[in-house]
Amino acid sequence: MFKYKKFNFIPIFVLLTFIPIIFKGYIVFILPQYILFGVLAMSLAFIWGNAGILSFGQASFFAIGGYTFGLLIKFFPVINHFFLGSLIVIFLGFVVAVITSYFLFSAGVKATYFVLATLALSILTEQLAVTKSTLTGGWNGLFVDRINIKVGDFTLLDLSGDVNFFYLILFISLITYLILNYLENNKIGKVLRGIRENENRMLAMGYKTSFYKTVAFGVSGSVAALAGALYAAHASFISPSIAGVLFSTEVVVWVAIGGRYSLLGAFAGGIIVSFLSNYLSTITPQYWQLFLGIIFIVTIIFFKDGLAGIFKKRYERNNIK
Amino acid sequence: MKENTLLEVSNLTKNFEGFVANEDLNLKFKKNEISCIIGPNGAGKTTFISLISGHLQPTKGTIIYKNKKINNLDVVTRAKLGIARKFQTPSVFSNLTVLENLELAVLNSNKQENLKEVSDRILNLIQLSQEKYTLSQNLSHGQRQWLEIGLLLGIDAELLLIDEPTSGMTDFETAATSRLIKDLVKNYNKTVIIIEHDIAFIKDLNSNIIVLHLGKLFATGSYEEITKNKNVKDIYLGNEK
Repeated sequence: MFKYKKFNFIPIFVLLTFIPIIFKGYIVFILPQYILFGVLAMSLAFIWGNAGILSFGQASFFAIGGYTFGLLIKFFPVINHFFLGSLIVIFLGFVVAVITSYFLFSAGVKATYFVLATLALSILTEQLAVTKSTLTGGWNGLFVDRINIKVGDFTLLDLSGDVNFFYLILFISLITYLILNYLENNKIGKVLRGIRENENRMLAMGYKTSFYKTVAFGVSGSVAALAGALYAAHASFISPSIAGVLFSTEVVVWVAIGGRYSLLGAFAGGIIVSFLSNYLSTITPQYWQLFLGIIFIVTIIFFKDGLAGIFKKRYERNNIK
Repeated sequence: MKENTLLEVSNLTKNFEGFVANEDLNLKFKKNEISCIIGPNGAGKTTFISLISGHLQPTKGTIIYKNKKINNLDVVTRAKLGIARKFQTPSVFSNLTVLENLELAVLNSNKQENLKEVSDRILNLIQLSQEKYTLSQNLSHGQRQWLEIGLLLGIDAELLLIDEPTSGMTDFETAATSRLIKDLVKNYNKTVIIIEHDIAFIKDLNSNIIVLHLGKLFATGSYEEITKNKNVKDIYLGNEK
């Protein structure tokens, strides 16, 4: 129905492409981390927006990805390889998400209880990161070496500089968006929206809804874990707070503000709100959370479809004219 | 089970913690026929449909569909075998367009490669071609009933369990629904079991009628036989002319 949707990702990614050309210094270093928060937000929007499944466990997968990637580099230098490490993390994120959700969805657990279960997952992951301190560094966190992308002994991409890492993360974010967007516009996306609208009708039409929800949550877990791995690689550090309930809640806020029915909206929400949090915390360390809270409440009350909803409505209005 | 019997239930009983909703029902439903289930409120009509669709499991008895015992199969498996149900209150996807509703149904059939063609054919059948891009929440109550019947056609079900299809419909819509159901049986090899209260609609369908009362089989027969049955008049049709 909305043809612009096909290409609406181009402006936002083109804009981001120009950042390292126009700016230098701290922004080029920090923006990739915000972009990864955007990817994490997309992972939530994929299941929340399409299937109506709200998860407070995205931070958990993000942390699982980050810690796994860091530990692989630290303890298994034989697979000290960017691609292999990323593939393992994607697989692990998928498996953990599928195992977690399979039993819940098969048992017919409804949305509210699923939220609680994912909340528990975040708490569990944070506790594991703290208590297994010989592996994870406990509260001190885990330091992760920056590694280059190599094929054999040949360095394909030197990631010691911020600009190269910026473009790598931007490229992976684009690919992730395109894959999620493809899934959204094909059978699984349609089925998930059917489940969101009327799960009983879907069951009565012969859809095994628990299967689709489990697969969708698996995909979401993979994406969150990949974002976490890249975050750890980029920041060279990961700590238990990244798995916690507070961070999980922040992800929900990003998506609510950006727009849960739009992958791009969530992506932008992740970048803008995390940037805003950082900015506000420097200019008003005491009240920044209050400001953020107000923005969240205003969005929920007046723009329930988030920023993306505002753009969509404007587009529809212009089209009618 | 005879060759032309699609569904057979034997001693079918459903007990809800002491309350017997269906008791020892023995019924056969032939292929390409319409059967209407009537009876006063609480007679066990919707329970019966739920037992067939798999939304409820029987306490006792057997359900044989296409020569296969389906007692222990869940809703999803029964739907895949070709048993589909329209609920009493229209159950469609309110925030999706009519076309998107139908596409969801067709996507789960073995005709998904002809998605557009099949969807268009069903849209014509249920008279919603003009409303293709309308959100289903903006349809009239009657149109939503048709759309739900369309969903059953979309998954290519053979046995359609239709709970009160004319509820809330205008006379014009009721007549159109009657034509649609007869068309489905005659030209599309469907077998239809309907729960209905509208006696004029039932007469128009010219179907076999099953009367349930207090969960038990009370009477069966044609429209003429049932309307002349004094006992049925006493318990259900008393006020009908």
